[in-house]
Amino acid sequence: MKTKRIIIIFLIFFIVNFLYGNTEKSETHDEKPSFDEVLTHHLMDSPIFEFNIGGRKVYQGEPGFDEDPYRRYIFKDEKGFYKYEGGIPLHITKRVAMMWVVAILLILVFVKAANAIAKDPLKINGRFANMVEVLFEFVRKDIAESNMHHPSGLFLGYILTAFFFVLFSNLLGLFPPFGEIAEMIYSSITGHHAPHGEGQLPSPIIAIWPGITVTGDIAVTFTLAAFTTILIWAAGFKYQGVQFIWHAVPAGVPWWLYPIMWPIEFIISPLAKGFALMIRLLANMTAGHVVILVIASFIFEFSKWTFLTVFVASLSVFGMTFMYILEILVAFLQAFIFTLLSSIFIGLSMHRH
Amino acid sequence: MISLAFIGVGLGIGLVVIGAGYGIGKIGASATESVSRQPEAAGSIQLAMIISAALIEGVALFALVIAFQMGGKLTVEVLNKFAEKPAVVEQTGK
Repeated sequence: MKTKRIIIIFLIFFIVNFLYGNTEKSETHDEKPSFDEVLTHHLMDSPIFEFNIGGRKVYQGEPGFDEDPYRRYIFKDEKGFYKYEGGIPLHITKRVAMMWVVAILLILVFVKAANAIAKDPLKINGRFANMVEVLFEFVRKDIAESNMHHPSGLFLGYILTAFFFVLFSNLLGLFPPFGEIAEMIYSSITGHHAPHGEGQLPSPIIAIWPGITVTGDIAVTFTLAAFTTILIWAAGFKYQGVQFIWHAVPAGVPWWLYPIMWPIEFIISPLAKGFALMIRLLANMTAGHVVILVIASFIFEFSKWTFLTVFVASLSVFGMTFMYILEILVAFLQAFIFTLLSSIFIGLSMHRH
Repeated sequence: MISLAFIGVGLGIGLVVIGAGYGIGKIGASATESVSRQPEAAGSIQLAMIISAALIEGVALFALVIAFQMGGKLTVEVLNKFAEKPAVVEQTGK
């Protein structure tokens, strides 16, 4: 049974590789793959569908086109390259599509488990529901309730939601991009290739599963950290009332220190905590992927010397496997750290010092 | 002289790694020591270890992000502006 499954997976892999490799060779590929392009493709966001509310199109050559040096959100139609000026840019990018995948998976897993448990809460309801319940209880007891003093449902809900969202998006970033595999199979069957190049949108099939790390984007981690920062203030006002404004400074501080201490304790401290959470999650999730890609790029760097290639390639594959296993650990650890520090920071402002 | 800026970025990253490695190493050393002294408190010691390691790591990552920003600022235009002679030729690498 097990060997049968492995053989099927390998067959699919080889068929895809064979079909795709054949179509690739027919085009002229005399250039070495540039490492910068690979990094940009794997780590940076790019639009799949264009969607801009309002605004107007600025074409190449018109004033205001060349201001952005990165040329990330530039599209192309029959009149040439253009980008949007003004309006609300809501392009459906790879990360947005991936976030929908994460959200759908979270809904499927938790609604199914909750229904199974709700049938008979005192009974063991199968492996799947039990596994979800164990994780849930771990987050509730060891992360939320041990660091916050009698948190209300709002704070518990935030910590649980943040934990599972971060965990799922960290782990799904390590999965292969099923959307791109489906696009490869589709294009090799129909022989229709999506146009490639600057300003061209990729095939919409990629949107099924773009396979990019959601938490590797500063906008996502900024939003999560902003929730925590707002909840630090909210918990202070909810549990201490208006006194929180002057109780933010520890008792026993001489009165002439208040002008310095109060802004630091009340304004700068929650903002610095949120900033630290944002950068920590982002940098940890980006760094692992960069290391894996750098190890993979050694193979192409040493491909000039045929003698060394076999040696370097085997070392690289070993290193990549090791880093990948380490990344699974980091995915769990960062979800744990993010919610643990969030609940500690929120719990700190629930009592006067 | 502007080429010293590259050395600055590299040195910055190296110093950050030295500091963070020393800090996390001390945490790990004292955590293993205290677990061996009191094995029944291993759970809470591990928790405290992870929290303090994460806080040190956060500061180290701030510094790394600033170092990367410095590296990103060193474009060909900036280098040409400050270089005395000769002008830097962009290497396409293709």
